[in-house]
Amino acid sequence: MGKDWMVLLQQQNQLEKVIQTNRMTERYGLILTEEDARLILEERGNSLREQKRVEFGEGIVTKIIYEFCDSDYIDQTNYVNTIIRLQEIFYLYKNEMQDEITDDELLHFMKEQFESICFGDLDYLESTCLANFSQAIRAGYDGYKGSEGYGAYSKFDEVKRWDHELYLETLKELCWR
Amino acid sequence: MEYTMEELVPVVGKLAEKYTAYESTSITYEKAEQLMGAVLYCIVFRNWSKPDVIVWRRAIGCRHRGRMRSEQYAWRKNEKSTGPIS
Repeated sequence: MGKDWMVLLQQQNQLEKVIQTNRMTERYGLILTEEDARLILEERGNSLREQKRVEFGEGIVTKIIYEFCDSDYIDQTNYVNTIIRLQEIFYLYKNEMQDEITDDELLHFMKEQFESICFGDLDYLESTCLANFSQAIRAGYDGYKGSEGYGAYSKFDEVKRWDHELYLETLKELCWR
Repeated sequence: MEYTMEELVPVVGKLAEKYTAYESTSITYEKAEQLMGAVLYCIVFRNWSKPDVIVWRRAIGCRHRGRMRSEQYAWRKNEKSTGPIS
């Protein structure tokens, strides 16, 4: 039996559902045209093939859109490209985390880091935050389950972030030097 | 009864949703193949359990048992004449 039936599984029509997200996202100044939605779904198919996964039901695109539409780092100019990159990263790390994490937990984690640690940098999200987190999950970490994926990264962060004390320390150094 | 892939695929989709406890919208190719295998197994098992098939299976079973007995008999006869293999 070939892989044709997997193609059938992925061919469920999601175009209408993706366009319907405009109803919510337009309040954030984000609109998808039919062409944009087709492009996103085409790239979704490519990502799924690349990661050797099949999708069923409503799919992840609409969930990604609803999760990220209120981001400070997404505007109409980078909206489509950001959604495409986010879905690529999502499928990659579903595999990397060996399906141990649910869709919602992974999306919450991604959104939180995208806003607070990466400041909109998708490469940093992919190559640092998610790489560290997936390594921890493969090693058996499950502390994210109670918090739905929120607040999990601080345990694995290797970089000293700007907190109040560090800010004052640096300010003192700069002003009293 | 034969089914087309278009009929089986939604069944696999539903099974996948239950398998992931509705918490994931995608699965790996490997897992999807296993779930399709489960669906096909159930269809084969159901067909295999139909009354007319059971009669046929019993007939096959009797013939099979009869052949087994005659083979055992021939083997024992051979063992007696040549002695046990050490």
